Amino acid sequence: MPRPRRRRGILNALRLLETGHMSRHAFQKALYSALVPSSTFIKVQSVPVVNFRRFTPCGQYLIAFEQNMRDLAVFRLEPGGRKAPPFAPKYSQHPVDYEASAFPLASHKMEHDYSTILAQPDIHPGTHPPHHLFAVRPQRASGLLSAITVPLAPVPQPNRQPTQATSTPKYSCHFERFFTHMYTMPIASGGETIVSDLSICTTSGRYLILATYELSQQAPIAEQPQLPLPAIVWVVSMHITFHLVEVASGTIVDRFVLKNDNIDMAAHVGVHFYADMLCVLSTRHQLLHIIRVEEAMGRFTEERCIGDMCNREDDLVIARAREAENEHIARHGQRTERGGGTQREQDENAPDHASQDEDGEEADNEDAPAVPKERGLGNGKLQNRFYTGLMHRLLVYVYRCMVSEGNASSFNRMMGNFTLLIMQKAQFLDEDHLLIKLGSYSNRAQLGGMTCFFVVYCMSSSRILNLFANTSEQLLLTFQKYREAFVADAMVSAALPRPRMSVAQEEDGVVERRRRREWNRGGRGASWSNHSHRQGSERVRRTQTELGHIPVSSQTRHSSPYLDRSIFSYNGDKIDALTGCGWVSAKDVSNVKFMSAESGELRFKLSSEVTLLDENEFRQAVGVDVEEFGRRRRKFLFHPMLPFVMAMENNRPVNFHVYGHVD
Amino acid sequence: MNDAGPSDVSKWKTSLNGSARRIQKELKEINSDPPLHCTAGPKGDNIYEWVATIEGPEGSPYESGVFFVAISFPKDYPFSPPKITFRTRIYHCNINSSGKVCFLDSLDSMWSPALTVANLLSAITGLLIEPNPHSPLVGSIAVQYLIDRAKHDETAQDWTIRFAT
Repeated sequence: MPRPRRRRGILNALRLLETGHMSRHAFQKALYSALVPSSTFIKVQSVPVVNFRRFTPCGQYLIAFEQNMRDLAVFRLEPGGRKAPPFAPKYSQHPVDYEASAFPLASHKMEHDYSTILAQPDIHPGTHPPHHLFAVRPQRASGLLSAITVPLAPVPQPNRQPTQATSTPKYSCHFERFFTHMYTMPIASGGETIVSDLSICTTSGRYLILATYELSQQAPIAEQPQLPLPAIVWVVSMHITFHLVEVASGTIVDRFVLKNDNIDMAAHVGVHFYADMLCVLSTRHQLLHIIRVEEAMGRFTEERCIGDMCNREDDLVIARAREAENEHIARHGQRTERGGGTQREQDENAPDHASQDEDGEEADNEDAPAVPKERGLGNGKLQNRFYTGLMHRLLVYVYRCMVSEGNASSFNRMMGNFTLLIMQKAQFLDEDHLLIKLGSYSNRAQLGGMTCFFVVYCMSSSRILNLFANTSEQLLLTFQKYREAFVADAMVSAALPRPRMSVAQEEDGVVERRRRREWNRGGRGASWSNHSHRQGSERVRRTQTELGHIPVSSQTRHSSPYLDRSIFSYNGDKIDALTGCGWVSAKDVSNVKFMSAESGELRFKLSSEVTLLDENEFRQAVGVDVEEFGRRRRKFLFHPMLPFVMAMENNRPVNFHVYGHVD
Repeated sequence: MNDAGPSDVSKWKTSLNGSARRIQKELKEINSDPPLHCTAGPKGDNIYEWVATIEGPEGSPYESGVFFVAISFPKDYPFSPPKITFRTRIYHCNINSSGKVCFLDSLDSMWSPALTVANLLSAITGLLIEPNPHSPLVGSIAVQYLIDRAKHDETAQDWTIRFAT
């Protein structure tokens, strides 16, 4: 019987790292395996009534929205906790005296000023603070080890009685012990509301990207000829503003406004952030706004807009030609006789609203060309009949594929289907490539099992590089093999469950086993063809389901080394709640165990059995009579680098899981 | 339609069937012997709505581009000409910013039922190879074509890369 591998101690790992016998990654695994949030503050007191969103990547700040969804509240994390509140915070209702005798271990360790360590400039920059932590001075590991901030907590011991001045329950703490309220600032103005799903931090954590929206009080389209005609008429029109907020100072440094538009912000469907680039998908106008966040200047810069046009200067080129023609007409007369015809240069960017009926179809007019019925990818927005830039590229790509297959004649028949496709979601694959999901124009609701397409688009060359249907096993294999490239965040990718066996491999295995059984029985299955048909449809369905995960919105998930599956193993079914991107019923995440991936030893668990609030406490905390008490939802906010986990229940932190003992 | 008598309806039906038969015949011909650089066919189930693709002729500034052309047949085809519109932007003195083609303006007067879609597509391809600046639809491009051919070709090539690839 093999002996279970023993967990390596920190000092041993440190010695090995300093002597060059251990890689940084192995050291990181040893360190985080040893320092775990194994202790719990239950029923955290004096929690402000705000909607907590996320930690900044540097781990220094906690972002929250006020209940009115108009103001931003920012809290600073006090990594080691504090002995007593230095001032009366806004949210403090019960001043607490954290006596040293109550938490002797914590008070002893409080001599270290962890907040100053966190404020070291060389720790902040970078996408993944833990990695940078080890990348700064790898040869001086002891110094680095001391830089690992460890929030201290008491080891719950039944015999110890806290000597607090208030009625703080045993093993509990006040919110201000770990957090200091920095500021509350208004983001939304007028009738705007903050988009609750969107709070993206830039890579350095210096800036925060927020969005507000306001439903636009729009007059009928015919009365507003100056506004561009929407590509999709059945979505709500609203004004959307993106705000760039400097977290430390609490100032809005720039805004990016989209008027009379619609962006699906739920679960970041219409927004994707990569490095310093923000991709915003305008559903209503079928445009992809590529916005660079210039951290040095503190501003948004729209790099390009993909949809009607694909290249940066397309508009300029068309305008230049139009201007030359206008000059020519002015010089040689307005009307140019040409074989009995009359020249009628039209402003091709001016929408023709007068002839637009309610369904978006244009009335038949002999002079003005009819708006085409192909309304995909923004077609029909303009008066002319030209395909939009992205649509044209799509059609050319499909045409060339069919020509290369010697099937050019069938292109014409299929073309109509492609001209009905609209952009549903998009993500960056890298700085230059986008993965765009195309679905049917009439598909108002995202229906499972619908055929859709995935396009790989190169922005610099404005070419479509590949096109896949959502039944493509080739794309599925690529996704499973190179999932990190799709997720585009190593820490988030490390937290996601390992890819399952590919559908093809799994199905082939099933078929092979079935054949072997039939062979052993000495006969063939009578309904083998039906079985194969069922297997095939099941295979397609599963491929569609798997590919439904792309494009990936990795920003909705929070990362932490404690979610790294190479360090800890845990129940993958609860990944949405653990990464903070979705709520799970409280009873479903009552007890999440984290085992060491190497030894299988239980390292810590996030238990909620003793933390569930009773109905009265819940009502008191939330402040309203919540009828949905029985349907409590739970999720967790992991700190990006420290052993600190906030267990949230209906947006309210109920437990703090912290590191509480020295290995 | 309510005012139409039985004779008008039968005439209309005959005309419709005749046009459909004629279009079907042209479709067969164009599939068996398509014009150079061109394909054409119904876009979907409606035989009166066609789409054609014209690949930019080699040696012209439109080389490497693919141009989509919408063809709409009238119900009394071939006694009336089809409507042909470019769906791809092109820098050409005979094709304007709405996709209209110059020589087709006079098509109503010079149209003959003996002409076919294949003839029209061949004529358009000929225009791409050799524009007709003396009967322009876009005067500024025609002047540039006559005065500064190199600049014209450079711009047309740039437009092809931008809008037709």
